[in-house]
Parts: sequence; structure tokens; C-alpha cells
Amino acid sequence: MLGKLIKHEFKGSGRTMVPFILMCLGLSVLAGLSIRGMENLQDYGWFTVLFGIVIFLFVVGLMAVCIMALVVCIERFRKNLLGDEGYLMFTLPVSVDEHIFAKLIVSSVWFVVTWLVCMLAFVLMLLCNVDMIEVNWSEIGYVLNEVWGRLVDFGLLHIIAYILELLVLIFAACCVTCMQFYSAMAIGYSFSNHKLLLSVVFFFVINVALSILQPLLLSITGNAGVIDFMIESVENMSAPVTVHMILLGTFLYMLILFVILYFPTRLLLKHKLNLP
Amino acid sequence: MTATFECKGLSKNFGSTQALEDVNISIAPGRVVGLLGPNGSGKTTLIKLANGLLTPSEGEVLICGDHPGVESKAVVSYLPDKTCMPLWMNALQLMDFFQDFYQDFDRQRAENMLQRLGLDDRQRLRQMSKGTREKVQLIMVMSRKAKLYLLDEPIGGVDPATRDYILDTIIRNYDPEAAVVISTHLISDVEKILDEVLFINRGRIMLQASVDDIRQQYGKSVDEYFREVFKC
Amino acid sequence: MDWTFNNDMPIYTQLVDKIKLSIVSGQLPPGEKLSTVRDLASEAKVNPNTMQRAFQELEREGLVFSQRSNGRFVTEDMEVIMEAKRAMAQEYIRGFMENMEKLGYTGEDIISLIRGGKEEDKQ
Repeated sequence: MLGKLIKHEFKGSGRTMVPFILMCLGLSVLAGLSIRGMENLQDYGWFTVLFGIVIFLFVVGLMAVCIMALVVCIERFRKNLLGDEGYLMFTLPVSVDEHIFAKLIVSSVWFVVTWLVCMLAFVLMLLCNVDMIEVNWSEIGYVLNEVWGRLVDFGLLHIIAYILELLVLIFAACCVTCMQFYSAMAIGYSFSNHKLLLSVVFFFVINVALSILQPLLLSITGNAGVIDFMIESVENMSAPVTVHMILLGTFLYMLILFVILYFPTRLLLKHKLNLP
Repeated sequence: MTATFECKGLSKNFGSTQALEDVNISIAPGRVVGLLGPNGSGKTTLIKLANGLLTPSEGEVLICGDHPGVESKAVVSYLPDKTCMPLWMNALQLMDFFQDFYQDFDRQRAENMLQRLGLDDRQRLRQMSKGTREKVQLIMVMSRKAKLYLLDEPIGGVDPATRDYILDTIIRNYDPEAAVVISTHLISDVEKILDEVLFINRGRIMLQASVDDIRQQYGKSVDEYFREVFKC
Repeated sequence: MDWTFNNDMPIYTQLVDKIKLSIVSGQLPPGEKLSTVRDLASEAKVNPNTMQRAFQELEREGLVFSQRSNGRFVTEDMEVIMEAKRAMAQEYIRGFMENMEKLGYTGEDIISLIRGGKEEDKQ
């Protein structure tokens, strides 16, 4: 059922995200062509103004996509689960966990996609002007060769693992961010009045609480000798393994934050649901 | 035989207000039951509890012998008292959605009913009138072969023609194996399609009786009897 | 068929009366196949269980019979139909007499009144 939820979640959110993404990519091509036009135009007529506007729109578009990913993340949870649509969603033969995870996964995917789209947009813009950039291919080849050599020296498997671990970490960070919004809304919407206002208040409360919790966690683990143990083990490890350990540690930290946010949210949605 | 829908000592309070108090009811398969009470009497609370949208403060709710949960939700078809379907969807998308999540969804039945209504499949709910939205929503709910249909105010706030359509849809989809609970305060309209009635007031069940028994015993319609019982 | 109902009587007895009237008046001729419970319930806008109960009552009285898998039919036994017709007529007369007595008429007066009415009709 999780798969089906995810499928429908993509349908519901893609309605908003896809047009924005396409607009962004379209604008990047237009911006690339504008830059090209500006280079070729000698007299500064109103064409320049037009091109300037297009480039400005491109920048705005990039920001808009990033903001939309966040808005969609929040609104899909708020409207689809806590609004009138909640009557439909929470009477589906699906568990609360599946609901939360479907929302989390899809939102996180959109965050990652947005990030990729931004990069792709820049690439597209550059590609429009590729013939104007003077490239010294032999030098690039040399540099790439050098880098490759270093990577091989370091251990190619490690590098691939880092990339995967980093991706997981990015995904985990997106999930934790989403959970901060979800938990705030789950609390805010369990009240009968001022739901939205309370959600905003609780969002800040949760943020403050987490920032207090962070040093607390550190001191607890520190007192328990975990950090000493870690330093000790790191000293005995090779450099590549140390990086793995740091990534793993960060992941575990994210996991703790996630669990702290997840279970209250789940409990509230299960027992304190207060649909309009 | 296990009851399709059963409440045992069910109570629900919101803070200090008691919405339901010691509700004991049992509804057998094949029965069409009216849950009748004034506004704010606890009808919607009872239905939400049956759907697992609320958790009981005391007592229990049983759907075919199970507490509300993923299993019960697969056999309960619920029509809330408001539009709950995403407004950006059209009838086709709604059918896809129901088909994906409910194994008992009979797409053919839904398509036939939509066709009878002469509705454009691709029109979004947002573009429909309130009455049409209610009809489409009811079609989705009644196209499931559920064990229990919980219809919360299905005829509230719609014109008489739509009201007739909705009641007719309920009769036409009658299934002797399934129970139907219709909550409403518009008694004269639904009286004829009910087997039994439950009178509810201030969170308490005042009466569970068959419609024809009330008519036989008191020589008046359920509507008239209700007005007498709940006279202000 | 007219599917309006009174408030002071059970719905199923009213359904029985309505169908019975159709049968004795010949609107539903002997041997005629009846619509299904579901269709008739939908037509009368009543609960199918109520319609079912009405049919059971009619079966008990012998006015309709069901043939397994074929459906329900009006009886072909004219004797039963005539008997039902007489019973209904008796019922109407009793009601009529009651009302007349409320108006203060007694037996002979009523009969002569009816005769008088008939004479007027002829003229």
C-alpha cells in the first residue's frame, strides 16, 4: 500500500512541481540564449533590457522552484492529511506510518529533484553558449587524469561508497527537515482553534528544543565515554575509514533526531486527530 | 452471527465536554439504520469513532468483530458530511484512486452510475456544483462492496431532486450482506428507506427500534414521533 | 402505482394494500410477473427489506407466489383474488359506515342516501 500511496502522492504534488520545473528549465535555455544575444549585440537597445529581464526571471525561477518544493512539502501534509481530504486519507486501509512515510519520501525526492534541476538549469544555460567558451581540452584532460589517479590511489570503492553515503545523508537531512514541519503541524492541528498559528509557534519551539538537545546529546554521549571511544578508534583507523565513520556518525545523529520527531507525530495523528 | 457494527459502553469526551456517553448498540448485516438526532447530539462523533478518526475515551467500537484499524477500514465505506475528495481530481482520477486502495471497489458500477448521471468524466470536482460533487462522492462510496456503509448527513444541504437521487442510489445498491447507517436530522426524507432508527440526544442513545414498530405502536410516523420526543 | 404513504400506519402494510389493490383491480392481471424487490423498492422509494416483507405477507395470503429462480408472479387462482377483493370491499364499507355514523346517519338512512345519489347521477 505504501507504493500506491507514493504513486498518488507523486500525482498530487507533481501537479504543482512539474510545471515549475519545466518553467525553470525553459527559462534556463532562454537565459542562455539571452546571454548569447547580449554578447553579440553591439548597440544596447531594448533587446538588452529584454535579455536582462529574462535572466532576472531565470534567477527568480530557480528560487521559486526551491521555495515551491518546501511549500508543496508543507501544503501536501496540511491539506491532504489535516484538512478536509484527511477524511478520505485516514479512512483508507492504510496505517499512519505509511501515510507519514509516503509524504516524507515524496517530499524528500522533490527536494533532491529540485537541487538537480537547479544544477541542470545552469548546465543548460552554459550549453547554449558552449561554443563561446574557450576550452583547453588538453588541460582539462590532464586535470581529469590527475584527479582520477588520486581517486584510484585513495580507493575507488571508498569514493563510490562516499557518494552513496552522502546521498543517503542528504536524503536523511531532507527527511528530518520534513519531520520538523510535520511534527509542528501535527501538534498545531490537534488543537481546535488557531491551528495554523499554533503550528508556526510549535515549529519554532521544536527548533529551539532541538538546538538545546544537541549539546545535551553530546554531553550525554560524552559522559558515557562514547566520544573517547570514538577518538580512540579513529586514531587506529585509516583515513578513508575515518571519513566513513564521520558520515555514519552524522547519519546516526540524524536518525536520533528523526525518531524524536517521528513518534510523537505518529501518536498525535493516530489518537489526537482533529479534522475540521 | 457477529454484528456488523457494535458499540459497547462507548464514551467520548473532548476535554470536559462529554460528546458520547455509554453508547451500546448493535447493527446486524442487511439492516438500513437511521442515526437520528438534533444538531450536536453526537452523530458525527459516533461515525468518526467507527471510522477510527477518533479514539474512544471509554468502551469499544467493533466493526465485524474488529476494532477500527487497517482491516476494518477495508470493509467500511464512509461518506463524510463534507466534500473530502481532492477538488483537483476528476471522476476518472477518483475511480483510479478508489480502485487502487479498495479491493471491493466495483469500477463498472461506478461507471454506470456516472453515465446515468450524464457526467463528463474529465470535469474536475472544483468545477462542479455542490450537489453534483455530493453525487459523485456518493457514487464512489456506494460503488464499493463494503460490509458497512457509514453515511454522515448524505442529504443535508442539497436540493430535493438531488435528495431523491441520493436515496435512490442507496436503495439500488442495497446489499443484504451489508449494513447501512445514515445519520441525518431530515427524518421525513429518509424514513421510508430505513429498517431501524436510533434516536440520539446529547451523546446518549434514547431508542433503537424498527420504523414499522414505531408506526404500529404510536400510530404516527417516525418523523412525528421524533418531534414529540425531542420537543423543545 | 401511487406510492404515497400515510403517516399513521406501518409502511409494509400500506405496501401490501397498494399491491393488493393493483391485483384485485386487474391492473396486475393473474399470472403476471412482478418486478424484483429491488426495482419495486426503488420505484416506491422504500427500503428493500420492507418491500420484501410486504411480498411475504402477500405470499402468505396466497395472492402472489414465487417460483425459484424465475421470480414472483400474481396468483392465477381467481378464487383467492375474488376473496381478497371481497375482503377489501368489506374493509372499505366498514370505514365508510364508521364515518357515516360519525355524521349521525344510521343503516337505512345511509342506504337510501346512496340510492338517492345514484338516482341523481342517472338524471
